[in-house]
Amino acid sequence: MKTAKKLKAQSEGIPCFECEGGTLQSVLLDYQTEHSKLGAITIAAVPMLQCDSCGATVIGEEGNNRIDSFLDKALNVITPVEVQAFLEKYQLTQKRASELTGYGEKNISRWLSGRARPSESVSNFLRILLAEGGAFERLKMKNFSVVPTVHIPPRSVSRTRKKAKKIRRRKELAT
Amino acid sequence: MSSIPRKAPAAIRKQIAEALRDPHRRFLDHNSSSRNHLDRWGLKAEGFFADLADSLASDLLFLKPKNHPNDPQRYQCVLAYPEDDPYPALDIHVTLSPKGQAPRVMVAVHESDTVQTLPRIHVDP
Repeated sequence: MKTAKKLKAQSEGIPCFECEGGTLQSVLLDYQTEHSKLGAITIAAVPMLQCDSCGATVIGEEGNNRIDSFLDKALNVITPVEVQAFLEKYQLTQKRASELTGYGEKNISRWLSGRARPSESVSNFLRILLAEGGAFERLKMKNFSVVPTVHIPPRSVSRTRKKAKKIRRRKELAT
Repeated sequence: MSSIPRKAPAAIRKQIAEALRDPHRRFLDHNSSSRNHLDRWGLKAEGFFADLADSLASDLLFLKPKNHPNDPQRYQCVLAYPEDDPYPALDIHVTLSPKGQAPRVMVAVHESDTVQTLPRIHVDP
């Protein structure tokens, strides 16, 4: 349920888009939205403008910025600055980044400019690549082998001899 | 009534695009859940307004038929995002308010009112 709270009597002087007779006034309203990851969420006291005659409501710059900032933070999405840092760290063009990651070049451009919000999975992937040069190198080489590369030293000769001696003794006892 | 949509004059498209580029002259219609659509598709308001302003370089903005003669004139277009984007085509309704010093715009976003019937403007073609 929306809770409207009139701010101080401050006329914006903006005529209503709907009725054209009233004037839009500043109000704070709870904003409700839904997101696939966050579910239903309510952002309290978002600045909006409401017609003093017909009640039609619009969201202006301040309200939109507040909602976008809230969602960016709640979703922990990678910022345009971090995307830029990723490109700079590995000296990638947007086209090369697209070839390596599989993301569309236009999408990368939109994340870089802040026009669109990357998903959580995109954010996680790019942040790992940004933090881990080794992960980036593996991606670059398309080396996705899961075989462990840990060095296992060969058994020592003395241990092998001891084992052989033990087996010989068992055979002797058996006979 | 003609079923063929009439294109908006170029001067109107220019006015709308200019208003969309000014943070103080662009508004989202709260009553139509416009903002909810943007949230769902990961579109930020600033980016969406910029996309729409860029898209109006195309002449595919149409007059929206009025229900009553006294209703304000609204305009409509369909934005289609690149195929590798998760966003669907967006049905956009624009109300231009010439009252006041500089025209302002109110934008409403719908999922599928005229998406199937109007030609699409491709974002980032």
